[in-house]
Amino acid sequence: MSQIERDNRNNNEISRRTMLQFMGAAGAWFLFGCEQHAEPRRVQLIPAGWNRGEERWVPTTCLQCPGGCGINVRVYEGRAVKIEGNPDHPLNLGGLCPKGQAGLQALYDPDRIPGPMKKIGGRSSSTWEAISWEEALATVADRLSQLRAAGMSESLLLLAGHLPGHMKAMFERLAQTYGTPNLVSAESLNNSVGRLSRFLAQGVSDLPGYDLDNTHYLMFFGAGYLEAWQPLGYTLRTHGRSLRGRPEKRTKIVVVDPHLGVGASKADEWIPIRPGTYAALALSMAYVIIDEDLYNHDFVANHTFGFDDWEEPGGQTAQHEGFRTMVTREYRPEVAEEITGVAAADIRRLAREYAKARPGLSVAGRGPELHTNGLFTQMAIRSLNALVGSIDVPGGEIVQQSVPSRQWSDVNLDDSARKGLAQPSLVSPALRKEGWPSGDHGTLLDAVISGQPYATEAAFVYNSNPLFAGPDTARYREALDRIPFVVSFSSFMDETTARADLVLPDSTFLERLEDDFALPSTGYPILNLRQPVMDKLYDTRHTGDVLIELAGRVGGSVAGSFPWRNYEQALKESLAAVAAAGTGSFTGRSAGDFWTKLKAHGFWSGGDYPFGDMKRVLKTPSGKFEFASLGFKEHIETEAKRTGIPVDALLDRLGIQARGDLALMPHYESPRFAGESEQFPLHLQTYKTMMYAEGRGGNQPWLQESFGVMFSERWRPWAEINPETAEHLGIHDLDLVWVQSDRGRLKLPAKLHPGIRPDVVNVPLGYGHTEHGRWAKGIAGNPHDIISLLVDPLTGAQAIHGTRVRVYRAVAPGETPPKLKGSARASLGNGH
Amino acid sequence: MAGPETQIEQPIAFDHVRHVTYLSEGEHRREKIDMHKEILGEDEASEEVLQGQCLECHDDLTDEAPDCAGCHILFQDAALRARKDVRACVACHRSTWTGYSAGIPSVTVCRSCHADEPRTDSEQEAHLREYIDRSEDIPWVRITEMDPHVHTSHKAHIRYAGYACTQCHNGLDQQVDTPLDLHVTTMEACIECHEENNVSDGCLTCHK
Amino acid sequence: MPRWGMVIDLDRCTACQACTVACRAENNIPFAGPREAAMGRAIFWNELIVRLEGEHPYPEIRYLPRPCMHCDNSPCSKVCPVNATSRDDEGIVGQIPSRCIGCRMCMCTCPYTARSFNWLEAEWPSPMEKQHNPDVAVREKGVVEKCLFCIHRIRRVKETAREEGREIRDEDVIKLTACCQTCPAGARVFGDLDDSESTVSKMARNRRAFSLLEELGTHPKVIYLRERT
Repeated sequence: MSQIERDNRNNNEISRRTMLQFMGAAGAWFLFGCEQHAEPRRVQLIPAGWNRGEERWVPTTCLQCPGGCGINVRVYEGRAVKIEGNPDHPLNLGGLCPKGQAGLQALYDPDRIPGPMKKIGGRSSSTWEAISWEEALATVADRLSQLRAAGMSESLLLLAGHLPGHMKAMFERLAQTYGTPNLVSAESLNNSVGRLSRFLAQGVSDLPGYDLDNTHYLMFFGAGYLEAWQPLGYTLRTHGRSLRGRPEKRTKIVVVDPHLGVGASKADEWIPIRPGTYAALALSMAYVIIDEDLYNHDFVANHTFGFDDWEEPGGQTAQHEGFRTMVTREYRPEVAEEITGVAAADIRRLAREYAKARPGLSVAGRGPELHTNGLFTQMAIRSLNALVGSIDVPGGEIVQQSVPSRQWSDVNLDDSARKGLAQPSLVSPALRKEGWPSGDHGTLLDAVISGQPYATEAAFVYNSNPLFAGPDTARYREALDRIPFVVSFSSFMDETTARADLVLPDSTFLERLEDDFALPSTGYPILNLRQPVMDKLYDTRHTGDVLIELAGRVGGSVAGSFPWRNYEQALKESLAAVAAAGTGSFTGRSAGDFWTKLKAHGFWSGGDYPFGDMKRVLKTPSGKFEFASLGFKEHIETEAKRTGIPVDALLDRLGIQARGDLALMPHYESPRFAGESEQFPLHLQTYKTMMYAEGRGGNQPWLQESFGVMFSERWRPWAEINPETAEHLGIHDLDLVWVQSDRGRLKLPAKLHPGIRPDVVNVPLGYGHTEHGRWAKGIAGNPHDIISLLVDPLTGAQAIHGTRVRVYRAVAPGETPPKLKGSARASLGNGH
Repeated sequence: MAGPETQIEQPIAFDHVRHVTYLSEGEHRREKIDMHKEILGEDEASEEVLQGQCLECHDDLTDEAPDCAGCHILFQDAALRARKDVRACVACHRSTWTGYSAGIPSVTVCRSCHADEPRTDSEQEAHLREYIDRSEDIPWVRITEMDPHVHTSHKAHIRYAGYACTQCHNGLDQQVDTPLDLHVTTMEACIECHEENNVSDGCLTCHK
Repeated sequence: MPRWGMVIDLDRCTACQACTVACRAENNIPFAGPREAAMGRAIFWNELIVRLEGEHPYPEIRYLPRPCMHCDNSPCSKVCPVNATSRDDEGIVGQIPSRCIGCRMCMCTCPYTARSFNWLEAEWPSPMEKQHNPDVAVREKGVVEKCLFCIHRIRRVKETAREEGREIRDEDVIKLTACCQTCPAGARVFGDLDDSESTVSKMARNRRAFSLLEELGTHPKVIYLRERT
């Protein structure tokens, strides 16, 4: 014992022995207090199959976000008590973000839907009646059968969010065999611009993965690095590795964004660029890289098209301008400085650093795509990777390999199905083409609200809450109200479910058996397994099982295409092919053996990623990375022929300012904004914090209580304002302010933030719930309620960062503004 | 407020004496040896059966099959088999050997012996079988109370320190039926024994 | 006898707050709700302290995850009138809820504001009580609580080592605490500061190392590594 400890012992006023004597005299019961032992305690009941004190660890996959980290769940006496990262999972290697740690609060959410329910009293009512699964399934199946018999199968809308693993194939199968072309998934809608930009340049419509374990330079345009950029667990892990995990190399990180988020605050440099001007910066960097001969000659010569001026394929004489000529002419750093506000000297320096750090990565994340010029901006940012050859090399951009599972047997389409599938889809009647994203929210909403080209009679909502997450929450509500029969599969009474007619609740991710495919990341395929860690808490059912059951009840060829007893059987059938492949992190002697091992590990991963297989990753018409997109050219020309509208007029209608060859290449077009700049002088931007959890974090108190890390804000959103701007507007830190757009206004506490441009206001997403549980409800502040309906006509994507606002104090001048107490003290956090 | 006079009624009047006797006086052993002889059609039991080396033949002995395995996986441990003073208790109170808790048996444990034909015609067994049929855990009432803030490790005492259960739970193995006396364990009792035996008396050894 | 300590590499830290939430999950820490949190009553055994400095466009944000320092010269254990908090032979400063009388003298003396008080009766609306970790007490209103370096996990490691007939190894403890285990960026490490070959000891000798408020003489056992080089 050290002297310090001896001193401590002696200094204690009451020694332990004395304390005991005191307690002994007062009687043993004193220790416990009267209330606790008013009567003897019952031993806690435990589920059948468990022994007291027994604990097991069950490997499964988190679903607090789509990132797909492997987790191990500690189950004690039949109840889940802790979630940890799975040390073997390649994405997170044992770490786990706070959302993952809060996963138990999704499972044990006191406001969960305990069983099937039907709405009493019409759409706006909030009265629900519990019904049996039999009644629920019969009701849905009857309605589906009726619609089909009436020759209206296309009027079924399947609206889905993230579709884990084979749930995508399940829904696709249902859509096909039933006969509706209207399967809409968040995957496609929310990332439509990102996907299209990659498709035009590379012919691949998956979002890119990045080999973060081995890269040397990370240049983020937007993206929300370390807060929401996917896959998050992988990113957090590699951040530590990038900075301190490789003794010989430290990755330099640069964040280009009007807003300084956590990622930017941890980066080496933050570039506060003018909103919507990312393309000018990227292309100016391209100028420097080309001008100073820093580009990768080998890659450019062998694997790109359109870098130099080019001729029409097919030997015609038309000469087209190439990327080099265009960039050299248009994007001198001095010009870009005017547009972006970034000093020309910095542009030169960043370009040199990026080009010399082989491999470096230029990442187009959330932000650049949220403007009307989003598509060409993303193309511009991606073109930097091609210039330096960071495509399919270690440390570069990759195309994630698919898990080699087997397709189920071909579907049988009867006449009803064929008739329905021949109808135009509600999402993209004008732009339907294979490989293009499956459309946009705006087109869908127009079609449903107008009832053209046909009415939507029924809708399934799966893992999606558009009435909260938008975009355009008000129109989604209007659209939903046009649909006479809405079924939700949600486990929680969220905004969209609250307006449904019927709920057939899914089990939570800790109670389900399903697979999931990791997001683009490592390159080699990762098959994630989700399995129940304990008995279901309530009378919920896996939506996969429900779909199989419904198909069976609809009968005919629909039932015939769903020959399985349950989802597990369907999965096993498909995953048997992975077993047969005989490679990867483990193999199985048989399909059954493979399945057993998969349940023991929680995931399977493929072998090493085959870097440099250009045929696999460049699937454009030219077979190369296209600086000038031949696919886009062909599409515009075809559309011009089909519609009879001349090309230039067509471009105009699509909102594209560029003409001729420029329109085929990445370029800068000034973004359009909603709201007059005089009336609305500031730009509104939104972002997702670490705790956002796809909006589902609203009823998870652990996430809410630690919500705003940078400002130590808890349980509420805020509006970030530059301190100079705030002073100009007479706003102090924590004053309540109105943030007003041409659509409406929000009242929020102002946070003075040196990490935001003077002309930008930033509001975090996640609040403004009107449903979703006792803690989520009632905390105001959903930016989607005031975001303007500005849309990029080419992609149909809503320009979420295209809204201009004004900000003013929420009280009249002369009055003392009511301060929200305690937020400053809240940063100390413990009662001082 | 509970005190030493409080008498506890259990949902089923569990006869400790009968069960302990069955396990420790050789009745279980004889019964199972005979069972093996009958199944295998042999006159003499093999060495493996006599020595309780289940794994030699049953290589699929896993926790998934709760009947015999539930107990016998644990009893592969020679150290446990050697402890004549506790092994009859551990047969049902399994987590006293492997972990912290008291190991009040779940209905899974009862099922390992009482799943087939009734062994007696007692009302208590009939009542037990109702729980087994419903796969419902029996709502036992705790008779040895300790503050929930306190951690105690049965494993540490029984397995490492080599104590018998009856040293703290005196007389419990002699209990025939309810009502049982509530026993509240005090800090004094723990500290006294710890100090006598020169074992850790740091606060955090016991306090959670 | 080990002397338990922790190293936190602020360069690796991504300010994600996984440590904060993992600790709450591991230790049955109740949540306060919006009203009480606004009054500063939310309990965080590990808290991410943030400082915003600098002016646009060169702001500096500093993030500091702060558990209990388990000071070798702990001010808190000196003032507790009922010995609810004291430091054991392995350097862990304990906190016994059933002894605490809620006077909060310890909170006054702790210079790191590492201690929290249960101002409220904890709310665990059913079925949230199912997530309680059985190895950690559930505290009641009126007592102080704080980080205990996951002493319940240290106990387990000792037991496992004993079972296997060996000493505790560095790899057993390097990610022992909930915060160290969950840190996605690998920024936190736990172990024996008296073992010169342990990971914590090696990291603590790094030239980026510093401790908080060293000048007060508390001898904190949480060592930080400065950001960047």
